[in-house]
Amino acid sequence: MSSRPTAIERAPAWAKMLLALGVVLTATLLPRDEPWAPLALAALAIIPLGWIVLGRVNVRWLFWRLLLLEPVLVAMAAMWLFKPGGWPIFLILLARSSICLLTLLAMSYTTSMSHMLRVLRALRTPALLVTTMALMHRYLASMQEETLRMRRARAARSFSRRRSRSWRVLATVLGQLFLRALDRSERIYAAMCARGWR
Amino acid sequence: MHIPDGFLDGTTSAVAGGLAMAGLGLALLHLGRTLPQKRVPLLGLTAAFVFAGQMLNFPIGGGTSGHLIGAVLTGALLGPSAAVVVLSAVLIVQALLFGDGGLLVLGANIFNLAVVAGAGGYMLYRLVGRLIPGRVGQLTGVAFAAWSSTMLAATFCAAQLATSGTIPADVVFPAMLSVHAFIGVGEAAITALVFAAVLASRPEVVDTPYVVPGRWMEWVAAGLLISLGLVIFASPFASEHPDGLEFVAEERGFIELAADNPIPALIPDYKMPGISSEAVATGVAGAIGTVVMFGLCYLMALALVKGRRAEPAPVMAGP
Repeated sequence: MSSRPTAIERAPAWAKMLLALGVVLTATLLPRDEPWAPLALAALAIIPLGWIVLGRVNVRWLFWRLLLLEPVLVAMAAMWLFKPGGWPIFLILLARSSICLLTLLAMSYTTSMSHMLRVLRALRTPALLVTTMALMHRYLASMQEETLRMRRARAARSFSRRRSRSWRVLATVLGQLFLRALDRSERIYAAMCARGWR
Repeated sequence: MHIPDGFLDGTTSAVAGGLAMAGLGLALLHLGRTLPQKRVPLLGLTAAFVFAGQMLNFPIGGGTSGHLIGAVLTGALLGPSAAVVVLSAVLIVQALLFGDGGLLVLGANIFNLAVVAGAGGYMLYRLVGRLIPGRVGQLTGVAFAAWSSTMLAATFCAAQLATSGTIPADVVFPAMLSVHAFIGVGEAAITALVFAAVLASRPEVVDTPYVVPGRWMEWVAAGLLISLGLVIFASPFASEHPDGLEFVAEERGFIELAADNPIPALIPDYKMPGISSEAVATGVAGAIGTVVMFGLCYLMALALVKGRRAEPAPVMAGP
């Protein structure tokens, strides 16, 4: 996020989530065969684009995310290219889902996870689910670090280059990760209780 | 297989969302009753672990790559309810934080990848474990269930895309199922290998589970949910199929052979025998493929069990 929070970033999470949902709903319910559909989509696109500009969303962050996620949209929409005259539908589908994706990315960049989880909790999402998501978010970074450390340590000890070896190594790493998670969870519980979590 | 926004229509999203909430609700209720408080963080950690695992891509040839689901692995290690909750948490965070998978279609994604893959996959795993005893049975079960979970999730995903009218049924089903038959092999291999690694270090995790697995009532509920989903998603497809057949028939010039009959083509084999036997042939091929896959899983399980005995336990480093 930028050094000085923009007005968008300061806006309440529920409003941003509602807006994102609204855009997605509109894009979904828009009929794709009507002649005014492309125009309507172009108008709708103003919302995510405006969000990106006003929220000062980092363009490089956006670029890498899109690089990862846009191909899925293209691949799915491209199934229409197997049908004669499928080009217009392919384009509309691609435009529709891309607008939704941009909106989601803009929301994700300008809204903190903990705020979003608080909104979910307020909507009476079961506590167990929300706690799981919160903990998962917290430990994602440390898990990736741990995986990296283990892979490096393993690489320093293994001499084999065979393909099957690397699958085995991967599996062992994942297995150990899981077992460590098992052990850590009880310590984490104790620590959380010591800090007053119920 | 995370469906993005804009690919499912309102009705399909709503129905899938309802089914997802039901399945997730059941799982949460079960965990609420049986999960000891001190194990609650375990779900969060496992979710992080599954998330990390899902970020691994593996090439499956032809320039495409697949990624893991991890529902069956979670289910085999922590039980079906935990699998459903953990996968749901992963999917929600992926959508909110990374835009991987849409908001409105979250219900469909949860249904496919958490409920069907998790609960359905777990049931298959236990079933195979009943057929084949011992560690070999467990490993075969875990591998075959993992492959099947990918296929099942892909089937429901394709059905949802078809009933939404987003992608025609005659294109989306063969495309999704064929690609995921290969991706499923990767899922089966990694699931079996990781499961075997856990068995090698700490077999008691599997034998005396950390989280109480679902009992028969949950199985029945999960089974009902899945069949219900199947009926809801498959029946519109059944009436849509004639459109696909008609299209192909027009393309191939079979349509002239069709009798001048106003009755909708719910029984197309009387009019277009060439195509119906093609459908039967595809079904038979699918069945054969599934049996072959089961055999491969069994062979892999045998190799893993024998290999464990021959190979010394790997030395792990790290603090």
